[in-house]
Amino acid sequence: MAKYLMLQGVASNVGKSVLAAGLCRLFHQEGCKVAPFKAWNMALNSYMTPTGEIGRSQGIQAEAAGILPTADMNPLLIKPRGEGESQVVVQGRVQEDLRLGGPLSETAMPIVQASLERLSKEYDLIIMEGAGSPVEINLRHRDVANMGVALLVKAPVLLVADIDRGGALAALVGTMRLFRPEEQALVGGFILNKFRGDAGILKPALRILEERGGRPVLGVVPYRHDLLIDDEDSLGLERTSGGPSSIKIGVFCLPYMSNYTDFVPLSREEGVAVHYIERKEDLSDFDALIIPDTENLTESLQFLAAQDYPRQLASLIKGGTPVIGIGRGLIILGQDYLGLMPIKTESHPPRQAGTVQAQVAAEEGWLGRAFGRRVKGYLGSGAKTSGAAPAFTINGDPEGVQFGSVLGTSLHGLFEDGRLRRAFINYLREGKNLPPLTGPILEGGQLRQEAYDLLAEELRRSLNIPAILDLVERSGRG
Amino acid sequence: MKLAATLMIQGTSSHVGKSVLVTGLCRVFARRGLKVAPFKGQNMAPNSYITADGGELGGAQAIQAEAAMTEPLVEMNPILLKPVTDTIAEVIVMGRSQGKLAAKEYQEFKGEMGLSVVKEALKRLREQFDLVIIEGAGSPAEVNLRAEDIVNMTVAHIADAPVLLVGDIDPGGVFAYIVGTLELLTPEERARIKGLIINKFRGNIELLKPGLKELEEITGVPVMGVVPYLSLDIPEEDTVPWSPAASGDVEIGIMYLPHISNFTDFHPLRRIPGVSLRYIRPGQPFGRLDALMVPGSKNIAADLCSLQDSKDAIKNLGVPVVGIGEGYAMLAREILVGGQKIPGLGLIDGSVELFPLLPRRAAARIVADKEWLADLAGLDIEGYQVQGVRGNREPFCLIGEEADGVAAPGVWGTSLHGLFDNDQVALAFINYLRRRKGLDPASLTIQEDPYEALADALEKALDMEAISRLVGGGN
Repeated sequence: MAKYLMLQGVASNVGKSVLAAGLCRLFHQEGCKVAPFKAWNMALNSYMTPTGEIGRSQGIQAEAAGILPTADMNPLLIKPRGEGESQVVVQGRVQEDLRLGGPLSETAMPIVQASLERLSKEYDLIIMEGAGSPVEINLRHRDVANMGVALLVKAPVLLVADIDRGGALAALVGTMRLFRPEEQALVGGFILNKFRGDAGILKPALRILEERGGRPVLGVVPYRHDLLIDDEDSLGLERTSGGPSSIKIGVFCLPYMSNYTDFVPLSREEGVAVHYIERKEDLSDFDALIIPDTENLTESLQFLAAQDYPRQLASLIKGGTPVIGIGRGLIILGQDYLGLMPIKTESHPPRQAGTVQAQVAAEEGWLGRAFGRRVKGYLGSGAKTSGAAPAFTINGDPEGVQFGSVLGTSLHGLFEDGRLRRAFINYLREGKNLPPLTGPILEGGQLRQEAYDLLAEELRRSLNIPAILDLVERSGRG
Repeated sequence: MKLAATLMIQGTSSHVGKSVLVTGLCRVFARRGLKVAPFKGQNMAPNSYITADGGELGGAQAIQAEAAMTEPLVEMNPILLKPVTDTIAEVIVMGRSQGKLAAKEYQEFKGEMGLSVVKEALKRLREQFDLVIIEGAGSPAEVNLRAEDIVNMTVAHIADAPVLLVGDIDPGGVFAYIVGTLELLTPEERARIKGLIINKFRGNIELLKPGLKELEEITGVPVMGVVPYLSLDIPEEDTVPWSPAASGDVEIGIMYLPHISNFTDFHPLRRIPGVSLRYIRPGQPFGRLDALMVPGSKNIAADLCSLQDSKDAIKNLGVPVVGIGEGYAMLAREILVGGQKIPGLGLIDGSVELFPLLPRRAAARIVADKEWLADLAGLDIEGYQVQGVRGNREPFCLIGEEADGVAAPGVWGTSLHGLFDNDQVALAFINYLRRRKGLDPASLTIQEDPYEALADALEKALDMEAISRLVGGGN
């Protein structure tokens, strides 16, 4: 039976997501099988998982927990489209027709419950995150995100306030006051987040808070510029414009798609939206298309053919739209299957395990802009190719092909390389007469992994971990 | 002597929109024929206003005075803190700079004389006006800071003011913030809170109503208004209004320097149709721009440092650049400040020197006569200076006898703040940008007085009858 711990905030933007990511990492470091969960997330930014789209912050939290995210980690994702309209993503899939007005619990609760149950079977600990304030007394009957879900599994709750904005003590005391008795009983302690200044000045306040709020303060977390833990939606690692996306990259949602992390880093660039292409979509909406690796070539080909995607692809390639095939995606592009590249491919098992260093050999297309650059990646099961110029060389041997606007390669993790990624995005921007991105380039995985470790280290210092462990042990008992 | 009546607006935290409410209430009561003054004991803000006799006060209080249809006085904001770094601020007391103080030094000053300064200023206002509308700061329920309070309940007691407590519903948790604030106040403090205001509401009021009723039951304090999310052209107190890439005929970028000050210099440009302003943080992409503005700075060295990586991008933008105050100094190749040399952006040759001067209102005459200034040469304009800058061969204007600023191809600068408050200057600049793009010239819109619109909105949203009773000397 899984244990639970839930973070609820006194308002939005108190920094719950970052704390949840830090706790995921902290428990992961302790050897615990931990997963994040947020029942209901309203966010502009999403994260691609093998089973569909979830809120960005749950994707990040899963990374911090050292696990692959799944759609169950955020079963309800609401993506605002402006002026009262939004797109609803349920368990990873867009539901165009779902209305979430009215008595929410009727439609939403069973969905949330099902996802949470599945996670509970797989993991030892679920770090849950609420949304907004749990005591909007006019909307109590519609609460799924906060106490609605906490009560389902009797999750112990830590109540978080942002002390930077002022009024944090009042907000905690007031939130406690407005809980119903059974809700209040779940709250195990308070966390004051984003504190700057002299901790000495705060001490008397903490005493009063514990007295008036009736719960212990289990941590005062400092405002740390270096961790950039100031940004709910992006965790600071991935600044986004928050506005409409200017570059749309489509990824074919192939059956048994694998190595989906290949294209996740793309959405780290400002103004880039990575979209899952399912059925009956108009490919001309996209600025670039990616055919990802898949575990099942046959079904993937059937999927593409059934949607008439090969014909659309052929005409887009003629028009110069960049198309990238990775792993078996490359084989799909070749002469034996779709024939979108005049190359022969021959499947073979991975040539070299572990990380390899490849050098860009392409002289044309977007990849040509990074000619000579050495990038790290790893080789999946791939294909020997003949008939076109190599995209890369690995120890002098050719790897992959570059033909016109089409790139095929067996090299995974390509876009973790910040400069290569930026070259690709700026190439696409140039095609749309947009100015090139000039902001700092975030180097991928390693930077994030280090940030999660730093975050966990900070939380070890500033939270009362033994007390929190006691709370976790109490889960399910209320 | 009969002292003015008082009314105080306090918030459950910062950024709940207190200052805009005070602005609106100033106009509501002023147009009812009362002599109204705004008051905020201590204000931390990057924007200031210079009075006729050279005194400096917070920009928000000057705006509130304007709404109250009265001359801004330093008494309306007797202590102004202009942030220089995270821990140092320039301290202005009754309009005069006391220099830059570290947080600790300021605490000492505040402990010694903060309260008496606030008391004296408030007394003077109450002797001259019919009604003083007082604005608090942050939350009144920071129980650990009660002893050193000179802006919230302490002032309410001194002024014997009825208090309206404002909560911001936008980020969520407004009920909890209000209930908790009342719980943490002492009984005497709590007794001062006569009404609650829910601010920045959007959505369906019917959904909110049951919550309001419950709130009144729990707190025993009446809700005296639900104010909708207003988008009026009234600058916020101390936050940079963040405009997400709005699109207009003419897009103007303003460098959002970490220590930005007097950024309201560029806001008058918005009065011209088709103009959109956008703040750009250092390191952010510039996007499509028709002009770039470099505003004033409280810490020119640190701000130039933050622009280090953007230097080339700024040089290569290929659009007109205007710098004002320290922003003008930054355009130079080199800046002399306090005996130190700092490398600037290098958009104009040579070096300039920053020198301190007493903040003052200033009359100037434009002398540059190229490009958009062709028709403006000889024009008399007004503005104010908070910092002297000298050293250019091709001046922008004369301030008194002294040459000021620079006019180079595509680059202009002056130490005169409030440049674009001069309608002709604003219009000429925008039409120059429009001509560059092949657009027809625009004209100034004669805008409705924004304070009237705000006052109208508040009269509709607030229980003015109840609030008037509070002011009418109910206590």
